[in-house]
Amino acid sequence: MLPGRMPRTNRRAVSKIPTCTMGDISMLLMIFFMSTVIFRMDNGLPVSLPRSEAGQRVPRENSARIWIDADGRVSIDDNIIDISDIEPVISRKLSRNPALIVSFNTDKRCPYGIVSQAIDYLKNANAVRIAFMAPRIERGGSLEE
Amino acid sequence: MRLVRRKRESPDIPLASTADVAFLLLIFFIATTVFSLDEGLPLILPARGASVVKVSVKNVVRIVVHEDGTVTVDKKETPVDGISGIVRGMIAENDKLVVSLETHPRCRYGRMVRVLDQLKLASATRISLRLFSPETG
Repeated sequence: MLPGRMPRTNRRAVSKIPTCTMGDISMLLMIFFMSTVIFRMDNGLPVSLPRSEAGQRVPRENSARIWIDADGRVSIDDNIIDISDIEPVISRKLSRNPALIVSFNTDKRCPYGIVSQAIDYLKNANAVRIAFMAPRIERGGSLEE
Repeated sequence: MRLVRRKRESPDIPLASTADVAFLLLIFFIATTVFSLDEGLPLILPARGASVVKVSVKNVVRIVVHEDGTVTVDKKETPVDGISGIVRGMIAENDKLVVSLETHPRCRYGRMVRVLDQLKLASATRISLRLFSPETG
């Protein structure tokens, strides 16, 4: 630049990001996510699960859940079904997803005979991977039945 | 009479800290959210038509959960909490050990899960679930 041709300015334009709307933006985001969140409720039957010490994570994506309550009622996918219907329902699911894990959400007061029957139907359907859902107790918690 | 109209001060709510408040709330909810996890005891059943594997009697430990909830390990009554220690010792001696968990049909499911939990704690991998029939017991 040739001297004298343009007035020399020492002052640069101060770049500023307006921050006073940040609160509005974050509130807006928060309200948006709060209102769009969906809690998936799949309570098939009211059961009180047994607790365990050695419980492992069971991937949800591959699991088909069977609910059995204290009276021995059986439910899959929010429908109460007859225990013998486990076989066709699970074999249909298994043909869609061969890596299926059948997870038992059984009430701890349920007699074992019913669970055993359900297992027999699963064997017939060739669903070999099962899991007995039992959330792990916190340290110092009790395992009362 | 002279009425002096005073200029009123316009009320102001300080808005500069709303962002901080919002972020505080956000961080609070992020930190306190607990995603429910599915936890359970996985097991693999024998496939249908799988060839029957004969296991020598000395490789089998029979754990029976009776109707009243008492548990016997090879016909010796055992407190539930002691099972994992016993089975762990047996596995250390014999790594081909198969645990046969037999449960009475009228026994509560919760009891059986507790025993299964003990077996998992003892890191037993070969577990066979059966229904206990008094004739064979």
